[in-house]
Amino acid sequence: MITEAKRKAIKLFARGRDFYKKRDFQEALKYFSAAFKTDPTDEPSNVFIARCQEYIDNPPDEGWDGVYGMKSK
Amino acid sequence: MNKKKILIIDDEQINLDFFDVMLTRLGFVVLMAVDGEEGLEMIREHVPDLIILDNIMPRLTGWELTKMLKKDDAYSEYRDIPIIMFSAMDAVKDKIEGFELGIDDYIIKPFNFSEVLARIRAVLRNHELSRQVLLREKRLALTDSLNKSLIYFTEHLKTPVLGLVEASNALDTSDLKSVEKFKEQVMIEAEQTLAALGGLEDEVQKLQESDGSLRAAELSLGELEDRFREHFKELHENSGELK
Repeated sequence: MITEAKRKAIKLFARGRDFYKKRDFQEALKYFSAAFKTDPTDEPSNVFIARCQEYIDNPPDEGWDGVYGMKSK
Repeated sequence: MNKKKILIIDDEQINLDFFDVMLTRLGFVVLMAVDGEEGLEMIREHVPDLIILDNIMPRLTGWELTKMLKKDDAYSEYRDIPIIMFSAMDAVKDKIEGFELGIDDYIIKPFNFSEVLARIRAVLRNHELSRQVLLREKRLALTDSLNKSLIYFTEHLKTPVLGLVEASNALDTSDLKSVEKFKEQVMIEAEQTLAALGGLEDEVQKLQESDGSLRAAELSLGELEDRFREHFKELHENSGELK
């Protein structure tokens, strides 16, 4: 069911989420990238890599609550 | 206000489509997954406010997924997301097991959509109420900590000030040496008191900041009811049956 690689990726991903919620996108990016490297089929890691990169360039507002706001649409 | 995100995990596409149409119309953001594994990925990607889960599914069953979310440390971030489980089996044992695992509600198929909506509403409201209780507890703890600091400060301020009063009463102003000594004592006490006051000020400021953000997240019970009523005002127009 859940492969060993996936399990490792999910743990790395969870560490990344901790940093992400504290707005430390640089550190979060390291963990999401490591997770995606461990399991290249792990789409959530891929999604959060992109979100980190976007937030490093354009930091979210002060009141950001960790929820990704869709800009387009 | 952010729209509530509801994730539906069901291997029957017709159920997904039905929920998608109905719940979107009621103002929810609807996320969908056709099996447990895809469901887990959606949970990690979107962190939904509620999960509606079919019990019997290929790959990862509803039970297995619930167990992982509630017990596995790698998923601890998602442990508090409320879960409503669907099942075609009306077995008491299954229901009890489900509730023991930590699900919030259990619905037997075939179901009536109005009933499902009413249950979604109840689960979301209960969850919001628990969150509000936690917020208020945090605020109480903050106030408590400030009170303790104030008591500590007043207790420790009294002795040095009384000491200064005593020294000042006993002071012989014609004796330059004792005046110098007294001045030194005043300086030392003043410095210490100012340092303590500075610390207290910092604490008050920190408390006010976190208190502000806690208050901002707080809702009155009336607001809470309005919030849920808004989602369900179309309930009667949209009621229907689903297998």
